[in-house]
Amino acid sequence: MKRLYVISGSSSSSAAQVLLSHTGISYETIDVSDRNSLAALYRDLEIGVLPAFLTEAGVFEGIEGIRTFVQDHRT
Amino acid sequence: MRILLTGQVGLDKSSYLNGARDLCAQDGVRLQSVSIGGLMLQGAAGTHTEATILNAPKNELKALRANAWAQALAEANAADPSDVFVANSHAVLRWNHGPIPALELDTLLQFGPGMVVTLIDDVDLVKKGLAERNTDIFQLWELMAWREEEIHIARLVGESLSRLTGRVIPFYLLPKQQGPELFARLVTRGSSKKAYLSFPVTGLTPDEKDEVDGFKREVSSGLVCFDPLALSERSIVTTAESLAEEIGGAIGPGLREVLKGVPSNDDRAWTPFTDERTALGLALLHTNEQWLVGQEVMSIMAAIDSQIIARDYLLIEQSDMIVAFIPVDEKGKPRISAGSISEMNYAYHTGKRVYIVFPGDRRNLSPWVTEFATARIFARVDECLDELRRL
Repeated sequence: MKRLYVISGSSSSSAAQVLLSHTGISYETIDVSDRNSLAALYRDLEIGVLPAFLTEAGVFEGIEGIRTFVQDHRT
Repeated sequence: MRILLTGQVGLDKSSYLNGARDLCAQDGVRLQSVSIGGLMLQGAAGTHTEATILNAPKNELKALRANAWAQALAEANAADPSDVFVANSHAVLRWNHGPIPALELDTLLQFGPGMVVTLIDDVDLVKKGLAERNTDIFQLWELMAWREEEIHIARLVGESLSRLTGRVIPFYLLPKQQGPELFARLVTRGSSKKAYLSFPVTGLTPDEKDEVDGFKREVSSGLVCFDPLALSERSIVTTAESLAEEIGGAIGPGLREVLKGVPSNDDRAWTPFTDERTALGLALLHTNEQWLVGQEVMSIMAAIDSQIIARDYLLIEQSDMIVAFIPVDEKGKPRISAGSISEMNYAYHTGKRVYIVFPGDRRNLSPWVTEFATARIFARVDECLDELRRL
């Protein structure tokens, strides 16, 4: 299952959701705005920049990373 | 037993100890504590408040501290020998004229602690605690440095007292967010084995999460457990890194316009300078609890990461074992972080037992993991728990 990790109040996180909504790919959006989830995300998955899109092929971090993913998977 | 508890200002150690006292009482152990800072304030009543006491001259502070310790020693001597008596102090104080020593070896030899403990918490929560006490004069980097000073001075005090008295006086680092339960457990069941828990919490299936939560509860009931996830200040770095680009996009163009208006002058000893991080330094960042100044956050980002490593290693050093849970990804492969491998490796090389739970096919695990395991690789947490119960 693909997951989009977002941080609330971030325009980049909102933009990532809009970008991904155009791909037709199904994914789960997870808000990790609380301190414990943010810290655990880095410790467990080494994700240090949000938004981050976790796929079977790897993690696409930041709005630029997600833009690259979307360009490669445009339907 | 007597315990020396240290920690920087802003942790509210007294409330923490009150919580520990109530928990110890449930186990039939009476815990008493004195706050050296509180006694010093009483000694300076009418002249100083918490917000001004450190303005006092060095000699006056030394006299106030000596009186406070004399009172503490009298109370400790009057206490029932079966009681636990905690002296709540700082290892060092910081103020606007620099660090101030807060411990003296002679006094500590008289007090004779059987254990030295340092309480720590996330730097932004410490800052919040200071603001609540009207003593928030510190930048974040100073609070990071202060926490390190507390840890290493207290550890050195423990080692020195051990050497001088010929008794083993253990040192423990306790994350405040693990709650006073950890302190109470250390006091009431100090001889129990100590375990460092390396358990991921992100991306677990609901079944895995239930299994891990249950395991943590079970293992914590029999062992003294240290949880690295009880410190979460890495969230500050991730927040800053995540917002840096959009802050740059919002502030950068206006900033460049302003700088265009600065006339160039080759003879001048300075020149305007910006880089991709300049805009972040001009923002306030919201980190759930409070607003942090971007420039201050930038000054601690590297230190937060380096202190995570140093702190996790200290937590492993004070443990007898590490218990690591490695989840399985969608392809059946182990999902293991570089941090988790380093922790197991460090534990192994420092003589600790390494227990690994991996619910997938063991053949998918690298020898860089399996060869560090003390026992077989456990497929289920309850199998590991059975093994730990036998210790």
